[in-house]
Amino acid sequence: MLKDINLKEKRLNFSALLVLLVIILGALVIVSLCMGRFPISIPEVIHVLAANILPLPQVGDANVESVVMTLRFPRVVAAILVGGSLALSGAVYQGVFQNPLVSPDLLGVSSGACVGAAIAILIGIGTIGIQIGAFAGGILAVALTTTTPKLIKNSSNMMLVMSGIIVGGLMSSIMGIIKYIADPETELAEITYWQMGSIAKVLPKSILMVAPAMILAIIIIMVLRWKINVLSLGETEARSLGINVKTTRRIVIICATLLTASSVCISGTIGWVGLVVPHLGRLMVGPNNMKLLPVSFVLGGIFLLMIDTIARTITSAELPLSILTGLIGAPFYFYLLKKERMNLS
Amino acid sequence: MKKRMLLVICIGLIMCIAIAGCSSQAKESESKTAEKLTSVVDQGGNEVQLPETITKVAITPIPWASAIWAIDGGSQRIVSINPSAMAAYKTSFMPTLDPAFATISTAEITKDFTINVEALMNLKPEIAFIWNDQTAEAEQLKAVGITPVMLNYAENLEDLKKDLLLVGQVLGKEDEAEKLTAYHTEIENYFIDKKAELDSVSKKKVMYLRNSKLSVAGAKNINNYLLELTGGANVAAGLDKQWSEVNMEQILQWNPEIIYLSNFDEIVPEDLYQNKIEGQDWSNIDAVKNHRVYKTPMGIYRYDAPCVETPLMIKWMGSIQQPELFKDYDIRKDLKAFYKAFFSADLTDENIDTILKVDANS
Amino acid sequence: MNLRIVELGFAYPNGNQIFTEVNFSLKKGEIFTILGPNGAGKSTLLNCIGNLSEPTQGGIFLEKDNIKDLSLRQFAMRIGYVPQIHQPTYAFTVEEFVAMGRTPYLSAFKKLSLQDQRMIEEAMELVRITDLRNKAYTQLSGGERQLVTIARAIAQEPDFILLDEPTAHLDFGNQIKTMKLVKKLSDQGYGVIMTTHNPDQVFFIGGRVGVLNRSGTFEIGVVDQYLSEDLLSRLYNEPVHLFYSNQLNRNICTAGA
Repeated sequence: MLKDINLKEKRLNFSALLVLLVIILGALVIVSLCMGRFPISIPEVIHVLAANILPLPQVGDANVESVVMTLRFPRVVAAILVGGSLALSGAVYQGVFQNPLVSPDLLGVSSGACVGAAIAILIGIGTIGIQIGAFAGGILAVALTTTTPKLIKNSSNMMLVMSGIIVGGLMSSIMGIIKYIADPETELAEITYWQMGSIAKVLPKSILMVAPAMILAIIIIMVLRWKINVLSLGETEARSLGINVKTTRRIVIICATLLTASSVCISGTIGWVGLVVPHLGRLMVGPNNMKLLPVSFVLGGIFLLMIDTIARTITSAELPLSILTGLIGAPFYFYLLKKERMNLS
Repeated sequence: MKKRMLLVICIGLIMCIAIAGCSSQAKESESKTAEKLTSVVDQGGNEVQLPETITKVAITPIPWASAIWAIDGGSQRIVSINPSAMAAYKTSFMPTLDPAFATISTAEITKDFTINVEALMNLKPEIAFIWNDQTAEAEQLKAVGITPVMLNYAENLEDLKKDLLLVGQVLGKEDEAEKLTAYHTEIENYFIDKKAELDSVSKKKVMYLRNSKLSVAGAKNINNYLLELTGGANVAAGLDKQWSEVNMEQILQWNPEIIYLSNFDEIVPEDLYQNKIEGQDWSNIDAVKNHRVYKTPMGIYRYDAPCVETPLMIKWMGSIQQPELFKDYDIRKDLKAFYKAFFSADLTDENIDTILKVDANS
Repeated sequence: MNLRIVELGFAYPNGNQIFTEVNFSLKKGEIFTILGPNGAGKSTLLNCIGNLSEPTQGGIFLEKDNIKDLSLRQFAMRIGYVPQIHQPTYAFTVEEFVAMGRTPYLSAFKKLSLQDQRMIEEAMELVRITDLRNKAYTQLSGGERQLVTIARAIAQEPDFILLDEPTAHLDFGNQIKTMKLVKKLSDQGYGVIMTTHNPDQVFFIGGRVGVLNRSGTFEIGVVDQYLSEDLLSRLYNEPVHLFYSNQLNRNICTAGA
């Protein structure tokens, strides 16, 4: 009986932590919606938000509502969705491939998306075209990565990772060619800017396009949390515990790829989030994915929302997100590794 | 169990708000566009409703800052331009004509054409001119009540005239725009009429060099059109794009007779005559041997880009490439007349020397 | 519940035959030890029995079911596998680690039920690691990790437990502890198959033994009757000495003269 109470208390702690994180996220959303070149106060933001959900009259100044809902809100939603998805993908890959040093780009999805987007920019087919190109590029790259082991008849984790390195390298070379052909005045600048990540121009309809697939992928991953735990023990042990390693891994990779490709197609490539945030999550709740995955998602949302808010307020120019995630992420990662050095083998 | 349910409800609620917000917003953007009067079709193919009065405009494309200044007759209505346009203004001839232009804000637009829409809102322009591939920016501008008008980076004179007329329509300065385009057409026709004579003479081999990195104008460049109109043959006409980087070997193979150096870069004829650029040997090129390397002119804007002064560029090229054929105008006199007619400015000989880069070309 | 290994053989794709014609059976509560020098193929044999490698000949049957016809989950509910100790990547707590033994019983949407939690508790109690429950697996000693892995196998509620060289990397004291635990497992009613290269352990455990030698032949017998000095000396190419200890009531195996 005493032992039961002990377990219950631990569960309470985790739930409390998660609720706390969600509340922090909510508060950050409100604060972020206030910040920007056009001055808006917190009560005004809350009024605008409330009036959009409940049948209340809207704020008097139409500009306030425009700025909050049209300019800032899509960015806030995109930041949370993308940040959470990248962190979740990273955590999932780190579990499946038993390596806390891998990022969502392990199988080449980001490099493939870069190529897809760059080709679309060269052809000149507009924003939606670039998004489709990025998505297609990411998916194709991962398809290439996962097919190669089948051709070599070795489907182990190690083989997949090597395959990912090969495909990633191939994509980088193609990127080099594309950048060489690109017009340095217009196309090259646009490609480089896209590569460094930005949600400045994200349109609500873009988010609506990718959101359903992303939410589905997130749900499936959450359902598979326990199995990912078992996969992180190793392929042999996972099999001995009754997990069909190939199938589970395939589903998980598809979902994580879908998540990352969808994120990258609306935001460009953003590094470090998928690598650093899961580490932070592990420090807070341990490596048990039942807790780690939800926490990673929320932390990723908080992290990227903070970064995007900084990116758009610190100067009048738009700072690309990868620069900030790198500048903040790399030292932070160093700090986390220092704290974690006991646990790393 | 209960805590977990609460958590799921929280997350679900947040997601619902997000999606509801996005979709409700998507519908509302329709009702926010400006109200009245005329509509035009811009260079992105969009039908644009123009507001009744236009007191302020923002300009993202670089060459159009000076062009719109020219058509509008001054910088009173321009509130925000591209920082590169401001940089171009400062090195051009414009400060003598309009020192007030220097006070226009460049904080809302960045060099890579990104617009900080919120900052722009603070200035309250009714119109923002953008490039025709900036579809995402157009959406954002419309949603906050700023009307976007798309312009095209002209590849030939027809395009350029359409752009100029569009600007005239938007600003209510159709007459001024038509005066300009009429002048463009007049000059163009003069050279087209000479086509028969041109065909009988040998075309000079011309290379249009953008910078010291050996970027040259290709077939889609407006300068390609201009120099071919005036009796030149672009050695790089086989390259499809507007600008392409080539190497020294290719240039040796082409061996151009005339080389133009653009104002997109600091390069001057001396650099080629004295072989000052590392890794490049120009000494065997005909244009260098015969001292026929020219820095292109820069008036209110660099003549290399399609702009208001393009007719002058045509004339200038003609005078260099086929002076015997185009004897019946004096480029210096025409410059004076142009600036008097369109900018009410009296140019001195020194001014003309500066515009024509006489020092660099001596 | 009967576990039958029938005419089992394994060969690598290059034709290298590791073992052939392995036949034996095991009931719940019995212990069977596989003895042989390193490199003979003991782990490969155990992996085949544990459905982790595919044998090239023969089959394995749980009662009437060929294990190939069982789903991985069904198999995991009947046979638990304790691998040699390895370096883990993530610092799961001992309790989380043992809980993973319940994987075959969990469906996607449910959390751990009371039944699951009870089995986890019992497994930890049986192996006596309950007070380690919140310690990180990565911070345990080799011996403790071994116990935790055994507890995880127990949590699977299997009929049979397979242990691959369970005393490898353990110090002398922990080796003895582990052997005692193995005996206790059979007392508790689990069928146990264990591999080892140490004949003395086999004498300690008792039961039946299968000797796998380097040429791939496998012969079974009852420990005290079958294992002779002669056989063991030939097996290891070194003189081996056996004598009976009255104090311990068993044969002792040690280096010969």
